[in-house]
Amino acid sequence: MSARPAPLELMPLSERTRVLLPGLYAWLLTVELPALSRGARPLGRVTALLALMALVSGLFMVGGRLRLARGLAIYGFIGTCVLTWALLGGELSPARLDRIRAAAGSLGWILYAFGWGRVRSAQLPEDAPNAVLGVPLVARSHLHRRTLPIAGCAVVAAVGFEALAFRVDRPEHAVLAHATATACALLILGASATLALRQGTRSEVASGAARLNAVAVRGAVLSVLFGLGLVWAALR
Amino acid sequence: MTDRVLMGRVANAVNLLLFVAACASFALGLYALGDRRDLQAIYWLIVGGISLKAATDMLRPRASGR
Repeated sequence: MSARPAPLELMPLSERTRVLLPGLYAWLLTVELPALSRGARPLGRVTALLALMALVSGLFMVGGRLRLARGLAIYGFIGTCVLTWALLGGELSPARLDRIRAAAGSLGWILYAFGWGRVRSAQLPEDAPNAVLGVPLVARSHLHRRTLPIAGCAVVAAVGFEALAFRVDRPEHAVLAHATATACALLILGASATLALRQGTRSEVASGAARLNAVAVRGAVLSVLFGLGLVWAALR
Repeated sequence: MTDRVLMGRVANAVNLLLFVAACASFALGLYALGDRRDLQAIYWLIVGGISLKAATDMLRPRASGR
């Protein structure tokens, strides 16, 4: 007699709600409302409805089959949303888009993506059966006082870049602006992480003069660029 | 305060200044793109890129100094 397979993992109600609400919000703002607009193709409305059904059925009707639930609520939902956008075509041009709605919809998609993550359980790590008990390890150092302001500045800047991209109303340039904003945000976040973590560490073992010398060429290029910019501004 | 400490503080200040300049330049570039000033946008994005590269290079100066 073969042993019964282990029961599949159930998705708790709180996790379903955490995915469902942002998913519904993003779907409503970025898929359903454009699909209901005048001039939208009927097939786009059908695929928009299919997207909603994929999300809801994936999260609630599949029961304990977590893999199938995720397949429907992630791949099925996003796939039908993308299909809807492809069918809507000109209805999604930046000239017709409501920028506030688009920005709010983007936020909804971010929350939907984060909703699939899991919060660490409240169980103490020491209570785990495989935990090696002993004296708690002490951190070798603490974060420098400049670390959090640098990281905070980078996060604000990254969000600001994404918001500024929504000001671009020319269709081709809007795509470029969003790509540029994303690239700039990633660059700033990456550089800020390095910069913030190096504050007060042994990276400063290099003398200040050596660090200033390391950027001498780029500093000169920047000075020339600023000079050219000033001349340009004066001539206009 | 010794010269070494002073230079270290100056280097830190320049490092942070370059980072803030990079953030501001990128923001100005995107703002200019929204106002249909494409040439200015390219200018500010280039300035931002060079500032950011300089800011990160200051954290790990090469032995040769370049």
